[in-house]
Amino acid sequence: METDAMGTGRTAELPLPVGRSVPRSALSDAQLVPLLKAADEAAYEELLRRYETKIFSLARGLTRNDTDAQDVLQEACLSVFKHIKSFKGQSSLSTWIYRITANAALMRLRGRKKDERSVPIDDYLPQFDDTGHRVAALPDWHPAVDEMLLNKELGGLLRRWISELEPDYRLVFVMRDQEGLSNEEVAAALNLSVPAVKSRLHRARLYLRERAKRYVYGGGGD
Amino acid sequence: MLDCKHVVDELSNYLDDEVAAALRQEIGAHLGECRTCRALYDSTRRILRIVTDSRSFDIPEEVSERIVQRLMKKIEP
Ligand SMILES: [Zn+2]
Repeated sequence: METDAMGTGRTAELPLPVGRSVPRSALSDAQLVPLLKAADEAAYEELLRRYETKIFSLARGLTRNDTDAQDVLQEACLSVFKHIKSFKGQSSLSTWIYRITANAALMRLRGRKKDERSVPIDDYLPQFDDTGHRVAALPDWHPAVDEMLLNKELGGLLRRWISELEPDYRLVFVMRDQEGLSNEEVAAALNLSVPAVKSRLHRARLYLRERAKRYVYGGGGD
Repeated sequence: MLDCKHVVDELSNYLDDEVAAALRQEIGAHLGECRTCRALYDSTRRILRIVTDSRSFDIPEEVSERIVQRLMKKIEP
């Protein structure tokens, strides 16, 4: 346990910037930060209430399995506690937490065996000839694609296809389209420019749509 | 009229309502006439809706508990 600047003992004994009687749920994220720095239990409970599901959902989308997602959630929460003192408020608390979560998930992905493949996204992006016409092995229009998109099983297939995206694309897609963060939030969390976020998102979306199409043409075999 | 490549390049921006009004109109006109791009647009939009709708994952209660306990132990060793 670190000691505070005065060297008077445990962090938890620092005078709290907000009285104990103030409900933590009434505070903004920015107002929670000094309490988190002062190791206020109620503030951590509130933080978990606000972010636990979001962190887990993001981690689940990135790692594609529950065990890893649970580990990432735990690591991310402990990381917040460990590093909150160096949080300067240059980004929002939520962005900072998403960055921590993404890093924890990436670390876990890197530690994995090679057999958990992701597919090369370029194989799934549309091709055009010099005159701007689509060159497609399979026509884009097929009534079965529409039919399939009404099928309930598609949710599970999509999750698998998302999980096979290269990590750079998966991060952006999951944060943006699954978790509903803005382009700016994703850019801040991943240290990317907004155009880079948009470009990856665009390619990831086209990839998913192409996978759905090939699935239909392949008779469900993919 | 815009060619298909241009429309596909702008598809995400169009879906996110991030194109200027004039271009938006041109893309709309193209989608009205080009079955290929229309199919791409419709199905991509539907895929995104499914992804958004299926976003929540439940955390097992014991996992949640364990995290709270580990955190609290750090706060008050
Ligand atoms: Zn077209």
